[in-house]
Amino acid sequence: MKVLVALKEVGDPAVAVHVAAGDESVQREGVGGVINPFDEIALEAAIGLKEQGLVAEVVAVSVGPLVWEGSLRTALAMGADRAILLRTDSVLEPLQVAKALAACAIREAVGLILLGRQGVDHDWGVTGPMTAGILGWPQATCVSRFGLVRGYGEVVREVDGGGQLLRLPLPAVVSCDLGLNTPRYASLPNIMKARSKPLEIRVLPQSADPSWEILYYGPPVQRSSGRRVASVEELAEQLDQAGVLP
Amino acid sequence: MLASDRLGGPSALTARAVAAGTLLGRVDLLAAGSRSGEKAEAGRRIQGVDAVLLVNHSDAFPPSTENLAWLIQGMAGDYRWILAVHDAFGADLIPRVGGLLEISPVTQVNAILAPDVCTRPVYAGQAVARVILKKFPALLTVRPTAFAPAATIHALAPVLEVSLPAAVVSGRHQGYRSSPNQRPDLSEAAVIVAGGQGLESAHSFAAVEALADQLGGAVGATRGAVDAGLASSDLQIGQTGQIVAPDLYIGLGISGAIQHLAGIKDAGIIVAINHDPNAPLHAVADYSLVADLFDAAPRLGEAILARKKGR
Ligand SMILES: Cc1cc2nc3c(=O)[nH]c(=O)nc-3n(C[C@H](O)[C@H](O)[C@H](O)COP(=O)(O)OP(=O)(O)OC[C@H]3O[C@@H](n4cnc5c(N)ncnc54)[C@H](O)[C@@H]3O)c2cc1C
Ligand SMILES: Nc1ncnc2c1ncn2[C@@H]1O[C@H](COP(=O)(O)O)[C@@H](O)[C@H]1O
Repeated sequence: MKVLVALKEVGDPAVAVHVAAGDESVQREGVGGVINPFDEIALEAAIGLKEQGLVAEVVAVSVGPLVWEGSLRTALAMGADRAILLRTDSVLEPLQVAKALAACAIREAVGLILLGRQGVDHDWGVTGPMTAGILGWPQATCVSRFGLVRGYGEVVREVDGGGQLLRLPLPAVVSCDLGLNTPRYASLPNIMKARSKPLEIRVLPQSADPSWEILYYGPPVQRSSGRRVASVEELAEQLDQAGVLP
Repeated sequence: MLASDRLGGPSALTARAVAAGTLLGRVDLLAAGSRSGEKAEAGRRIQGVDAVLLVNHSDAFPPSTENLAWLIQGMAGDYRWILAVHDAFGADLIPRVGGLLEISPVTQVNAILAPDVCTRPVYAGQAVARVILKKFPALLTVRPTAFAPAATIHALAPVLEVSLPAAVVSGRHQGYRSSPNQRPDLSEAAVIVAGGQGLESAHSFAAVEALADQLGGAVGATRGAVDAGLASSDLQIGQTGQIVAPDLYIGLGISGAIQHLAGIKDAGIIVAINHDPNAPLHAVADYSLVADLFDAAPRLGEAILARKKGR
């Protein structure tokens, strides 16, 4: 079985974003930087399945600008067998990404698509289930445990108040959550080896007809900064006065 | 409006999304998924619900995300907006409907400015995007903390049974693993005491739990605390955990990373207790105390109890 892993680049989540009113440059903020943390987890899960002998090939795919080639090389160095860049210079809405991923999954005849639960730039969290809907494949989102058992995906989803156990017939789409694994680092020899692994670049056709448009970016509502209290007693008194104690 | 679900049963968050829905138009509430009858009963008492559409599941149409998305896409032509709470249920289902209808959803909506304009936070709440809807039915998930719940009323909305399509290929639900939690729910708690990696030296969350129990509050955690094995992941607050809005949030041994702050910005009052004066949580806190948490937290509990008795 082949596995497709969807990777996007985001701005480094450790770096603060400062936005002035009407700052459209935010739109580009996520373009270039690091692999979305959840996508590294998805990739690690795929490589793990290959190491267990449950998967024949791991294909990494990105839908984005040419500069994302670097992240795909990193994915190859981590252990992906092949990479595909569906090249576009437009900022896409999730539907276009999901359609491109679905078409790629059919073309490559994969049995499983692994993605991140959300891009930490725009926090949409929709591409996985949208792709599943387009393909008509079963889905599991926010997965913190995953195993392949007798041709089924056995998963635990993170849900409010606990976990949901699901058995997924394949082919299926799975979006990965933080608890699933700890992604490996690419070793230097593997970085060298990755240079000769296949990375195919295809141009994604333009498409219009947006579901929505982002009119404006602005700063969030600021909280007024508070005050230092000198002691536990003073804190208790302030909270009492504020009327928030039970 | 899709009735919200918590571990396969009705959720109090539905009333918050109904409040958001009434800003747009008349609201029909879809009671679907497991225990849909209970969801319908609770939903028909929510102010602003015109009618409850009940999905009676059976072996021929089990309550899976795949089946529900298929059902909703068939009903979509009758509606201009399709809404759900941005919880594990809605955030799973609405985008799948989006795939079927070829419409990208707008998730985590935190304000509705006009029938076709809403806002949502991006970059872990460091910026806000204003979005204009172009294709309808628009698909929205709303942040429950951003909308006060619609009232419960005596009048009962009518319940209409929905006719069901044939089932589609689905994952099979094998059960829930609920974490044993006697405390209030993070999503609804008036008081939350959250702990971070500052608790690691104690190898336990006892100091957090003790203060939470003294205040009758919920326990929350940072990703740092979850990774350190101090708290279970469903207690995680933040960009990739729960978004909370208690009247009072007390953070113990929490640095205040952007991703954690993303989850607490709607809290009424934020208190930081951290021995590092430069911890970023101090900068956003309404009251900040530079102190050792193992000393300060128990004393704060006592001081609060003493005040309660004095009242
Ligand atoms: C993609 C992504 C998503 C993330 N999502 C989330 C999320 O949803 N929620 C989340 O919380 N994090 C999230 N994180 C992690 C986040 O970036 C931080 O790493 C995390 O919040 C730090 O947790 P912490 O404050 O417990 O630990 P630390 O940053 O280690 O802070 C511990 C604090 O405890 C203080 N301390 C230590 N001992 C004591 C003592 N005895 N008394 C008083 N104070 C003490 C220290 O001074 C320090 O400030 C995410 C990260 C990424 C990359
Ligand atoms: N442009 C893209 N290219 C490849 N994968 C993507 C892209 N956008 C989103 N994804 C995948 O979809 C997941 C969810 O993204 P989002 O729906 O944007 O929050 C990400 O974690 C990626 O795995």
